[in-house]
Amino acid sequence: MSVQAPAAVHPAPSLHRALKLVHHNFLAYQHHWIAFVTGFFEPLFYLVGVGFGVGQFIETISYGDMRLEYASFLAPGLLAAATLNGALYDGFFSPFFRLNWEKTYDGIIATPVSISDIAVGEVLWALIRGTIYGFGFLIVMLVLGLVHSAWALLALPAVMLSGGALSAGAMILTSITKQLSSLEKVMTLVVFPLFLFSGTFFPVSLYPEYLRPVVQATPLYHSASLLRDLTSGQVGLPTIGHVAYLGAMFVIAATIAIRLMRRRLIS
Amino acid sequence: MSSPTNIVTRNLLVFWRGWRSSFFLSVLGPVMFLSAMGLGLGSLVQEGRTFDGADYLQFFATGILAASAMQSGVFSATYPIMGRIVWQKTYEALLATPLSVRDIFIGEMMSIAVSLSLLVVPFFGVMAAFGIFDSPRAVLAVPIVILMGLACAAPVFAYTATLESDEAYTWLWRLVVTPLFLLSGTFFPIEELPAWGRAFAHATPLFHGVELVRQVTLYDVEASAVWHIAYLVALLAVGVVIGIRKLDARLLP
Repeated sequence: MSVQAPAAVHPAPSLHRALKLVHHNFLAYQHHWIAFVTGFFEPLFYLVGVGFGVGQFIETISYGDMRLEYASFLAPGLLAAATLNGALYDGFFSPFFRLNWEKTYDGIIATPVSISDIAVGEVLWALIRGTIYGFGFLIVMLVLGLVHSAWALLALPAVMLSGGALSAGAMILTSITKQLSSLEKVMTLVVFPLFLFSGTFFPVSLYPEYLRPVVQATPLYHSASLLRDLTSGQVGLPTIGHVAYLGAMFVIAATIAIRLMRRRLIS
Repeated sequence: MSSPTNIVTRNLLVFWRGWRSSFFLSVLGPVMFLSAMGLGLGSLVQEGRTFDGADYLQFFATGILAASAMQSGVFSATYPIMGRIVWQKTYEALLATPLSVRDIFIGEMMSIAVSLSLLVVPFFGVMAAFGIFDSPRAVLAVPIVILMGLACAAPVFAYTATLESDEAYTWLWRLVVTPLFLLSGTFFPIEELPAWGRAFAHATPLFHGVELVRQVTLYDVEASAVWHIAYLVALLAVGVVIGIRKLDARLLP
């Protein structure tokens, strides 16, 4: 069924062409600046409501050889969750509509821009937005005294790495989802459990022994832990493990996403 | 069969196909939320800290029951309604039948009540299974949160009737619904808020819903319950009156 097509039909992705898509998204997005600005507030409300609101009933949480205030524990988790949300919005919801409803991609691949360019472009776009949000949130953390180490300077590249890995994963979802009702299922069965159970709101040590490996297999766990290691200064061998996991996920998921997208659009 | 119920039947028929998976998801959602926040986060709460005698799981679960009804009520009055006004033009077709604008509005509100109960009843069941209630009086929480969900939906419905596109929903959701969700006494008592925050909470329908739910499920029913109910009924009434007027202006200009 899937015969390897000649190279001329599927040229390697080019940054120049991928940037065309980024430019398209930017132009389309200019009309939605409210969505852009308000996106920044959602994690902030969680930080205030849960981090400080519920946090005042909570003793400090031990993390590495430190004891963290609850808000300091939660904030990097929320940053990771916001990265996941952004990756889903830009890597799954928007492309889903462009692919299935607006048929934007059908129009685009009639131009010299190829399918791999689209995939690269969407991930790049997601990265740009995620980086801006991540930067804003880190500044807020700094102002609120939730940053405890200079390692936090590396938190922004860490946000980009997480964003890349998660967006690539989201693009896989895009290429296999055809129905609108599946969107709701993905939210409830994949995103919501990730959000709640990946060590975002409470430490993995609270889980029974047999559940911990399950949690530790999820990408959001690694993303949250990486950011937490950096903002609290508890950097060590596990930190490198989180980076390796996210890096590997990015490469593998991006490869699969491009292949699936190709099959989906040319059939 | 009176006219607005025709709308309910129509919506239920549309809804029917996805029903089984929706029901499954509406049970799974609360189970996950209660496990993560009530049990997980709750276990971090200081030993001996109670919320007027309730533990954190009880406190949180009752708040989140009301908060979910608010989210569901608001959501039902946004995209689905806009779809029928702007995108699918369902109402234009319905107005060609003997149905009036008022029938359509009331029928939609009744549909929202049905979908709220499909959310609230399973949620309530999950809470009972978590051992949150110790009195049968807790059942009263179900009609209370349905009333509150409708009171949240009606003004949003009125707002939807004035909109041309769904863009406003982004800020409605992020700047109104999310802060209400987190700061109306759902996650922590509003006594912990600064004075202006408490004043703000008292103005929100969710706060009144949460208070009522906690009174019937965890605490004693107090005289303030009358005020909370009056607030919700008044909000619903105002929302319906303005909503019918706005929808009328929109559909029959």
